[in-house]
Amino acid sequence: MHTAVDIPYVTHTLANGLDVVVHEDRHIPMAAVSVWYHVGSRHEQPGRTGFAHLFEHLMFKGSAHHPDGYFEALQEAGGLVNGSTNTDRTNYWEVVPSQSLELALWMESDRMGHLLPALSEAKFTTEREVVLNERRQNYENRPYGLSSVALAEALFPEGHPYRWVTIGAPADLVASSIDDARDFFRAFYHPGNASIAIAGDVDAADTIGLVERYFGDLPTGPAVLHPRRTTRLEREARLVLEDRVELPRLSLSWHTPEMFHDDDAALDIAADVLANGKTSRLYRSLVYEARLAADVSAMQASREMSSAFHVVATAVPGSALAALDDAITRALEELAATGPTTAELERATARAEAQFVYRVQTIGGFGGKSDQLNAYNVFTGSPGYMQADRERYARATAQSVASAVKRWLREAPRVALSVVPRRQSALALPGSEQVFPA
Amino acid sequence: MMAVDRSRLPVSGAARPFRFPSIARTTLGNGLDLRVVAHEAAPVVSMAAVVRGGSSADPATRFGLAAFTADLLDDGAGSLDGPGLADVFARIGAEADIEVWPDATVVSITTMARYAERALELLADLLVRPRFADQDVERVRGLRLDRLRQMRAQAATLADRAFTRAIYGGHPYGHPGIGHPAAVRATTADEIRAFHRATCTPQATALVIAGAIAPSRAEALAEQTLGAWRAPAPAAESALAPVAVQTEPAARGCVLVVPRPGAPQSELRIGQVSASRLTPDYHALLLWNAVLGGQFVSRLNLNLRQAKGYTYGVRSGFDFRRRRGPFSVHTSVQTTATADAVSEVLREITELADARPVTAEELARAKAAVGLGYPRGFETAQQVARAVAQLALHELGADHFEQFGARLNAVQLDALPAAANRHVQPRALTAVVVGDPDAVGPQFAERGVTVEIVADEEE
Repeated sequence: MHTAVDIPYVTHTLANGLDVVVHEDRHIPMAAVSVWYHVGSRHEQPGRTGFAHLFEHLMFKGSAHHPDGYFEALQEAGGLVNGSTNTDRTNYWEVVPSQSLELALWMESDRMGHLLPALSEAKFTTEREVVLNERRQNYENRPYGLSSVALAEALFPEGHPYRWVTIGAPADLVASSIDDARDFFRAFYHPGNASIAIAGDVDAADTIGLVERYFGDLPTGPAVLHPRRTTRLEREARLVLEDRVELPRLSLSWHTPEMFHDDDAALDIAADVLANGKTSRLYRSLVYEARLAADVSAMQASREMSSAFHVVATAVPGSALAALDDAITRALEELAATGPTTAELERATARAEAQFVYRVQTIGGFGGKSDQLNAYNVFTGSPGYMQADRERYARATAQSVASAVKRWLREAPRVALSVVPRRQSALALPGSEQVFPA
Repeated sequence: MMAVDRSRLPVSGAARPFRFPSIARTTLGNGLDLRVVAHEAAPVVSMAAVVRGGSSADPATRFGLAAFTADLLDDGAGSLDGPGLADVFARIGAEADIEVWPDATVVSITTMARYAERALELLADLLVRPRFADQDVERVRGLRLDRLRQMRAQAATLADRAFTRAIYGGHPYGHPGIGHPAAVRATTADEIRAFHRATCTPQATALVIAGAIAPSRAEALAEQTLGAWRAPAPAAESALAPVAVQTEPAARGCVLVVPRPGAPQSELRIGQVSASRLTPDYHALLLWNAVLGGQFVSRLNLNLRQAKGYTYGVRSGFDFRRRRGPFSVHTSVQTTATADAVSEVLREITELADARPVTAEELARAKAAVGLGYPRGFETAQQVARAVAQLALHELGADHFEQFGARLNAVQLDALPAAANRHVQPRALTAVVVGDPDAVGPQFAERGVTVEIVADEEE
C-alpha cells in the first residue's frame, strides 16, 4: 500500500523563454512564488569564486523602479522572502498572502529585467562585507566548518567548476567589483535562463496571465553555457586539517553519479543502510556497540554534473581515526558483497516514500512544492518528474545497491580528510598531508 | 494586454478569510489533556505529547537530568529495544523527535496517516514504558559527555550558556538543558527512573493529534493507547519559582567576555530576564520586537547589517515561558567591529525607549507584517500540532488563534512604551561576547567599558 503523492500543475513558456509552472493548493490563503536562475558557483571563473552567491545578495538591494527596500515591501505585506545559491542554481522565493501575489510578481520581474540601474558602489561594497561575515560565521568560526572547502579542493582538479565552495574564497570576494556584477547579470539573469513556479491559493489560468503581463516584455539574453565536466580521482588523497575542534573527525568522500541517475538513488539507500539511526550498520558498530565514535553520518550529496558520497565519523576521546576508517571500509565491503538485507531495503524505501509525502505539505520556501517544481523543471526539463524520481527508489534492489557501492565506493579512490584539534596532526590517518583551504 | 505600471507597487486587496484550526478538547479519565485537530491538507498525522517540567525541573545537583531521561525514552520501551524501536519508526516512515524545553519535555511523531495507530502505540510506549536499562544509561551518558565536550568549541553555544547563567544565576532557568559534565557523570540509573516516575504522568501531559484523521478516531486511539496509563503516585507538580524582571545588569558597567583566542568573529548576546508567556503585554511586545529586531527589516538589522556591514544578520526576540523568559539580541559580528556592534545595539534599544520611540508608521507596518503572515504557521500538520501544544502548555484560551489578529491590531501606539518598559530596561541589559580577548579587550577599553573575563567550563 502506498500513499499517493502528486503535485498537479499547468505549464507555459513565454516567448522570451521564461518557463511558468502553476500549482493550485488552497489550504491556506497564501501564494508561493519561486524563481530559479540556472546559474550557480559552477558557472564562476577561478579568481572570482563566490560571485554567484554575492550576486544573489545584490538581488535584494533594489531594482530600477523600486531601488530600496525589497524586503520591506514584501515583509509589510505579511510575506516571507529569501533566496539561496548552490553550485548549480540560484533560487529566490516569496510566500505572501494571496492578495499580494501581484506584488511579488512585480518585484521579481523588476529585478529580473531592471536590476542594474539601482545597483550602486555603496550597496555592492556593504553587501560584500555582509558575505565576508557570512563566510567567517559559517566556515572559519564553526567547528569543522572548513571541511567542505578542503574536500572540494581535493576531489576536483584545478579549473574544475566544483573545485570551490559556493561561499567562495575571501580573497576572490575582496577582489570582485561592481563591473563583475554587471557582466554577471547580463550573462545569466534573463527569462531564457529562468523558471518561475507559483503554488498556493491562486487560479492557474489567471496566474499564467499575470506572469505574461509582468515578465512578457523582458528581453531574453544570450544563451548560457552550462559547464559539463566529469572527473575522477587517480589515487587516494589523504589530508589533515587543523581546526578549533575538541574531537578528531574523519571524512571519506568519493565521486558518484549525478542527480536523478539510478545509482544516485541506490547510493541514497546505501547511505540510509550505513548510517541512518540505530538500525544502521555504522551507527551500530561505531556508536551503539563499540563506542568508537561520537557520531556517524553518510550522505549522497546529489548535484547536476556529478555527485559525491560522504561518510563522516567523529572519534570519541581515545579512539583512533584509523579504527573508524577500518570499520567503515569493512562495512562498505560487506555492503558491496551482499547488498542490504530485506529488512534494510524495506526500511530505506519506506523512509524514501515518506519523504516524498512530507515534501508535499508546504507550498513554498526552501523545499516547498513551488521549489520542487522548479527543481524538476530546471534539472530535467519536466516539472512533473517527481513520479520518475520516486520510481528510482521503488526500482532499487539489493543487487543494484550492492553494485553501486562496489563500483563507486569500493573500486574507486577516495579522499580521506582528518580534521583534528590544532597542533595535533598526529591524530590524523597515517600519511596525511596538511592542507590550508582557501 | 495592459502594460505594467512600474511607477508604483501594486496595491494588495483585502486578506482572504482563513479558518483557524478547530480544536476538539477532552480529558481522559486519568487526567491527560487531549486536543485533536482535523487538518486534511496532506495524508500526514502529527502528534505531540507535552509533559510539563522540562529542564527547569532538574534538581539543583543534577542539572541535565530531564534531558538525560528524555534522551533514553527511545532507547528501549515496551517490548522493543532501541534498535527495535528505530526499526518500526523507519518502517512507518515516521519522524520522531524528543525535545527538552525549559518548561516541558515534548515527544513528537509525524507519520503518514495510514500509520497513525502504530505511531500512537509507539508514543505511548515511550511515555509510559521506557526501559532505562543500565547499559543504555551508560551508553547515553558517554554520548552526552562527548556532546558536552564538543559544545566547548561552538561559539554560539558558549554565548548562550554564559548569557543564560549570567542573567538567571541560580534560578532553574539558569542552566542549559543538557546540564553540566559533573552532574551527567554523577547521575544514576535509579535517579533517572525515579525522575521519570515522578514527572511523566498523565496529569502533567497534554497530547495533541493533528492531521488527516477524524477527531472521533483520534480520540478512540488515544483512549486505547493511553487511557489505562496510571501514575503510580499522585504527582505533585513542584511550582517553578517566580523570577523578577531584571532591573539591573548581571555585571554593572561591564561586558562579559568568554575567551575564544584567535576567533575570526565575535558572538554576541545582549539581554535580560523579561516577560512570561501570559503577560498581558504579549501582543505589544511582539510588535515592539518586530520594530527592533524581530524580522529582516528592523532597526537592528538595518543598522548593523544593511548600513554598516558588521554582520550576516542580527535578531532580537522574547523567549516566552511559564515564568519570565529571556529577551535577547543575538548576532555574530566581525571581530574588529565587536565594541561598535555592542554599543550600537545598546543605543538602538535605549533610543527606542526614549529619543526615537516606535512611530505610528512603524507600528502599522509591524501589525501588517506580523498579522497578515499569521496563517502561514498553520500549513502543515506538524505546525498545527506545535501551535496547539503551546496553547496547552501555557493554558491559553481556545480562541487564541482567532483573536490573535484583533488583539494585535488593538495595540495602541501610546501604550507601547510603557508595555516595553515593563519588560526591557536599557540599563538592565547584560552583554556577553564570545571572541578573541586580545582583539576585543582594547576596543572596550577605548570606550571606558570594563571587560570581565568569564570562564565557560562548568563542572
